[in-house]
Amino acid sequence: MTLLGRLGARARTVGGLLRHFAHRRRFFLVPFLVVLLLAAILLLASGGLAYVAPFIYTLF
Amino acid sequence: MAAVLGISAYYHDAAAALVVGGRVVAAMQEERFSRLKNDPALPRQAAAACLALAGISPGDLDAVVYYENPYAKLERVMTSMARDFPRTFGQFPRAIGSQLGSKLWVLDQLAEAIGVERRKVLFTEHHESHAASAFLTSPYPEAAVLTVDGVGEQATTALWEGRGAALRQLGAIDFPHSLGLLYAAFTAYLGFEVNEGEYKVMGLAAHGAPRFRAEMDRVVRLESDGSFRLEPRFFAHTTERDVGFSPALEALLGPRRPPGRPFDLDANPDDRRAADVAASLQQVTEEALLGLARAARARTKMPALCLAGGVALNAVANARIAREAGFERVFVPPAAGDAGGALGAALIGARDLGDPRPPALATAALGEPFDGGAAADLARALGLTPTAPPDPAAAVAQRIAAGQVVAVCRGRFEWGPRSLGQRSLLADPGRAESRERLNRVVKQREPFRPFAPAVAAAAAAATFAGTPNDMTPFMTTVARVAPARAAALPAVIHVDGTARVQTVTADGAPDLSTILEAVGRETGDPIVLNTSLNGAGEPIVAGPVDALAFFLQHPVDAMLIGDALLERGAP
Amino acid sequence: MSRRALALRPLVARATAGIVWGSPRWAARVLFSFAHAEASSRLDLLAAARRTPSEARRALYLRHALDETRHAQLFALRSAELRGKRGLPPLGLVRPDSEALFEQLGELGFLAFVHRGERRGRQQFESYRAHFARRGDDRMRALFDAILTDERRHESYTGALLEELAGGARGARRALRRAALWEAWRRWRRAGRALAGVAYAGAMSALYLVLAPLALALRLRPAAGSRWLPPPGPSAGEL
Repeated sequence: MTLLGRLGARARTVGGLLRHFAHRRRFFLVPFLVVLLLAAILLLASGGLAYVAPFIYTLF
Repeated sequence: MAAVLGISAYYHDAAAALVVGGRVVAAMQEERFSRLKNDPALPRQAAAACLALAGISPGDLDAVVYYENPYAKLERVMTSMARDFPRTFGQFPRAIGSQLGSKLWVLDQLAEAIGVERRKVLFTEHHESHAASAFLTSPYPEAAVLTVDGVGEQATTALWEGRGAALRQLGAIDFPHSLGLLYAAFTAYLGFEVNEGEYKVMGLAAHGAPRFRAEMDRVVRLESDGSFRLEPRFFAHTTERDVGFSPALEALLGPRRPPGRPFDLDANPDDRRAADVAASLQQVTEEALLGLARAARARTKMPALCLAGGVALNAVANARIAREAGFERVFVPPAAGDAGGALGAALIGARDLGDPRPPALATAALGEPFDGGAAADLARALGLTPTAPPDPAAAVAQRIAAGQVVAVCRGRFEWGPRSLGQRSLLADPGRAESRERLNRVVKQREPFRPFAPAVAAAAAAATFAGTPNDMTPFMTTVARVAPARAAALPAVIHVDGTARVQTVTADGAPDLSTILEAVGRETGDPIVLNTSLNGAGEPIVAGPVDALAFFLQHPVDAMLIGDALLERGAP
Repeated sequence: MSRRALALRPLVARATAGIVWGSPRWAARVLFSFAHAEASSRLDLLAAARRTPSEARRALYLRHALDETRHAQLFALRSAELRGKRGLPPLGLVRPDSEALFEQLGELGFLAFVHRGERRGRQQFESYRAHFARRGDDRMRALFDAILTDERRHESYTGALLEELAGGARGARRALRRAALWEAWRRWRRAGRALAGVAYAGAMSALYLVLAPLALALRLRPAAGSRWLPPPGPSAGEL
């Protein structure tokens, strides 16, 4: 799958996620969803860290 | 005419199932390919094998349907983490990381792994997948459908009304009240591995007495409307990583049994207590299921019942439901657990694309065919000497009659956890030593584990009460052995006088049917001991490499690989 | 404990043998990790047996896989015995993992990787065998003796096969160098993932505190009613 294809797929999933939570019964979970988005960014960043962390470790 | 691939993955027993033009073409678990028991990983190999068997490419697929709603699953994990705050502190990073790292993106991963456009990847609901896997493969035009498992998105139990190809949910019981998680917690308490040891608990139960029933009634309450509730303080599903029970359960029932310690029911009082706990658990589980089934009967007034979900693998409970719940007929598919969700998802997808409901499932032989030629070539490369008996079935029957243990690899491997003749170990049910040898030496199992018989369907009723029935072709129920026949079948009768019998027809298991005919000619009794062809902790054998590995590693007397025969000790 | 953590160089293995094997509990863990490594290797070899186009190599990989099975059982059994002597239960079932190495590396790369692994394992086990021989521990020495017989054979046949597939010694050396680079990159990434995992867990623990008000809100919400068999009404339609 091309990078564009992957991004498109991710966007579709995020859209599905938002549609699921855009429901009166689930509004109260939105703050938690924001926390999760932060966690997702953290995961992404730490996934990227996987490539550089040993370098940093060996430096320090 | 649509081609729909159904997928279950990421929790346990990942699988792929292909439905083309409304017909079930293939269904396979990933563990058979990866050789990792209960492999939960995305079933790439199983999916590829399904497509290859059908001769279609990913581009030919009209839809790929995942067996549960990943968004609703995330919602339940979120609310569970929050509800049990702050005790979920230890689990939080792992649980959320698991969801956000992979499970939430499963639909994208499927598109990439299988090679289809993302817009073709859909999902259904977990318990609906289970319901479809049972009802849409059953012989019933209408039925009540009960799905009972650990947990799906939110529901742990659901009742459905099935008519034609349609399923309508009538009610549900939600997490954390779950018979599947109850059984899993006790599986861990008794020292077995969760998702693998539940069968062992069921086998152990027959060796005990339900003297802890009063304690169990404090753990799970059976309601008058047929539902049930778990007492939360005895469980720790969201706060304990490795076991699902809390210290309160050990305070109630005594310390947990250490995992890995060998069983000795004769000499060890702790093991006898464990058997009594297992018996108490089994009794309350049966009564809970009976309550659900009776409520289903009262509500739907349907003459037939379908069962699915991991708890429907409890064959002893299924027999009790068939006897006491008031239904005329009961059906449990061969893959009632999460793997079956893949088939259910595919069937729902096919139905929604306008294809008709498939014919009733006549066989569980939905896997890859066994390549006998390749197996014989590999055997020769390994220095073995395969022979070509003129009548393979007769050759197997003669050896069984002589007291040998014979492995059979022919045809397409089975869908679900049972070996039904395509990948089986067969032995004489009339010799008690068959059971001892198989348990201790070949399969290295606990001594209390029973073995099961396979019998020609036409001859079943004389030995096994209430057979054949809709469950017996797939070994999803037990039957009482006629007392007059018990002495003739010591290797396959469990300590409680029952057997998890397979009734065999030429349509359902043609190779085993032929072997049983030959056994009948040899011994006068078309019955064999039939156990799964796998070593301890391994998935059932799939192809030639696994088969030869098993033969070289385990002391069976002979193995039929396609039409060729390998014999231990042959020059 | 994983095979990665215990992929000690032979000199390091010799130097640390006293520490590694000094405590029976620690020794049991080490043996269990060896069992895990052997069981995982078995999976990779079975996959190689299924995928290789050569019948002869299929048989070789299968035999090798069976040896790994036996090694895993021997190590797991000894681990359980050491634990049992202390009144402790075994460390559980050996649950192997698979990296789909044959798929990732191709057959030549896979052979080079396995050959390097067998050589390293042979050297490591030889130093442990010598350690137990010096200590007079005949049981442990015999365990490693039994396994070393196979390890030497594995190292030998994989080396021969590698040369055959690579078209000679030069090609084999090239494949071994590529395998060494791949392993180094894999070790780097694993170390990075481990460190990143620590960073992630720490940050998530801090984020967890943000859940407190939500937890309170959830507890204040009225509990959802039972969904089990509400009284039958007009047909709700199909799902």
